[in-house]
Amino acid sequence: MSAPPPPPRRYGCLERREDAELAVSGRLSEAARERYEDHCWRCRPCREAHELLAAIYRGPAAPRRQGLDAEAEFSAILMRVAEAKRASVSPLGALGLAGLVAMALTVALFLWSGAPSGSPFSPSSLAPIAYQMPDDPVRPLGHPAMLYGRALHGSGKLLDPAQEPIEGGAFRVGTTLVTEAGESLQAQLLGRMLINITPNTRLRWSAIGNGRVDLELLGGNVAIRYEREPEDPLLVVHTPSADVHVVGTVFTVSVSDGGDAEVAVLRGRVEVREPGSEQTISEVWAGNRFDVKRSFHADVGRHEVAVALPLSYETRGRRAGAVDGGIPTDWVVPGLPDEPRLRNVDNIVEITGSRRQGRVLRASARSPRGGGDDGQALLEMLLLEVEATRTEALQAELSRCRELYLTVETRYRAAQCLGDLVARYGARDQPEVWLLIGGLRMDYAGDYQAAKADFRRFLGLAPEHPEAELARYRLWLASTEQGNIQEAIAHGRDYLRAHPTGRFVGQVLRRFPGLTRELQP
Amino acid sequence: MAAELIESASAAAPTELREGAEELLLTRARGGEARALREIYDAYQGLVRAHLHRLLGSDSEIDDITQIVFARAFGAIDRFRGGSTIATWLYRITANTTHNLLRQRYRGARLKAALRWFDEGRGGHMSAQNMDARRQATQLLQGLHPDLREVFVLYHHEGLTLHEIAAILEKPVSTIGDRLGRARRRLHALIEGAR
Repeated sequence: MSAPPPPPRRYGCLERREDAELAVSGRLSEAARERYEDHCWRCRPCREAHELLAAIYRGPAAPRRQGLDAEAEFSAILMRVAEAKRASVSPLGALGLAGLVAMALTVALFLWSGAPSGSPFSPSSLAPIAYQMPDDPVRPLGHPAMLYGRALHGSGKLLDPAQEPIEGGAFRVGTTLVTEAGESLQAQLLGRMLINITPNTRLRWSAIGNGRVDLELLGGNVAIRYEREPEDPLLVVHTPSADVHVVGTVFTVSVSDGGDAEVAVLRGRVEVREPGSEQTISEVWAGNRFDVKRSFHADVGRHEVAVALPLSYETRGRRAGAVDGGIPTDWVVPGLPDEPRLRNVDNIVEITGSRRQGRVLRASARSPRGGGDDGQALLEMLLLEVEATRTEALQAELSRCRELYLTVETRYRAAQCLGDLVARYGARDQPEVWLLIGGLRMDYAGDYQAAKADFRRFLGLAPEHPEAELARYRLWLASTEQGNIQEAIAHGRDYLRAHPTGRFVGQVLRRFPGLTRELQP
Repeated sequence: MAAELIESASAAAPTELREGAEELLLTRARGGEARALREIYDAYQGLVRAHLHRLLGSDSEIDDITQIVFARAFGAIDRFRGGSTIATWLYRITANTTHNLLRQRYRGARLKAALRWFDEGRGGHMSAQNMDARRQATQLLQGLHPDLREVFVLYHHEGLTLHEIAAILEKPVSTIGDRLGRARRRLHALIEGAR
């Protein structure tokens, strides 16, 4: 008599989930595939999850070219290659021996006359801008009028290379534009570049030629909008700590009193390079702000948008803003709603530290609405609510992990739980996570080194936490079990000093009786 | 059903060049022949554009980034010794070009998701009912950490091997394998969370 066939294995959502990837990639056996499909047919959530997974593995359809046709795009690429080559050729190489002599003389004269005291520019950082203007500066700037800049609005001083004031609104290369407190100025260069100069700023138009225009920001804050056509010159803004290379974009640059630069981009992209060496420090894309000194990227904020807002108006048929104080739809401002009527300065989210807060207040004072700052208050409230909800969810998750950790049978699942928690929320706000992870590392993986690092991290973050005693004891235990006696004695001593009547005093003293003297008054 | 699910990831396979032809083309391009550059562009622009689309989702800047990738490639073609295929080399340039952008966008997307989460309750960042699977899939992929997304896209969508990805991203194969595993687990978790 043959044995009865084995009972069919139960095939539920869990089994379906385990087989999902094999099914999507077509590697499931015939029988398993039947069970899988049968379950998906009966269970709607599983069917949807399967469709979603299949869509992810399939990937999006290949896109079509959006703007330019192949011919135009290839030309644009060659143009970029040529620009990059031009930019990488140093001015010295381009000018040859005569240029070298001229440049040496220029630098020598500069050093001889002495740099202005307190200038954040050192002679070495002036190197990229010291070349002479050629007779035929840039091919596309055919009209002589384009070699002039114009002051459009506002108040401020225009100083010629000899630092003498310039009468009238037109100025040439070598001019310094200066604003004092309470002054601001809008100027235009090459007929295509609009510059908004905020109070207490010094900006010098230092050079034009070899396919680029050079500006030098000596201090303060400027916003620039450059509607660049492919044949137009590149723009380079020099600051003491970085050179900003611009292809065509809307951006702001600020230089602090200490000479530190910060670049924020609202549209397009800029490249920040090391002065002199031309090494790229970072690329900054629309919606981002880059602090050169700290090499730190963050989202653009109110201040940058407020500075650049006067440069927004209808361009190339695009609805741009300014008239109603709206932020153009093609400017990237993270957190700002896409709804046009909500795109104003008041609705920009600011969630950074005190330095930024100071800027926010100044920006608010200039906002078109004026008066109170209800929009900001509402957003701050919303963010607090989001944070509270997040904390609540985090606490719930943590208590679930803690429960799993408490029972020996389920402790192995706590590792997964804690791993997910750290991946989802980070562990900055919940130092206890490190204590639990350290415990798991010690008990299950025997990884004492990593466990000790976790306990130290926990104690560093929360030295007064109710579980700090356990962490100090665990630190001692880890060192002891690792066989590192000197370290164990030190940790035992720390424990006894911090918790002379603690729960684990007996265990520490049983192992190291010599530490009894730590308990003597 | 499985047949319909196993849609080939190579739907947008580029008109790649055969090995010998590639070597010849590179020699001509290094010699400064514009026609050779154009042939490289014609053969691989689809591959680069599709890869960018998979990495970044639907984006108005893809054309611009495609141009940057090719401009960088053509600018450095003298230094390309042919140690890998042109496609691998272009993938590497694309990875370097999008490195910062991916991370910046990832941070921005998280803030937006947090705000939407508050508006629509937990899971509001998904609103599964109003979205077809393809759109939702794109959104889930965007929610993956850039390091994991890069590896997942290169392996599953571009059909590259772990060794090829390791060469492109200049990381050990073990790291790539680990990232791929993490990406899959994370996506599974996101899918189950979205249901």
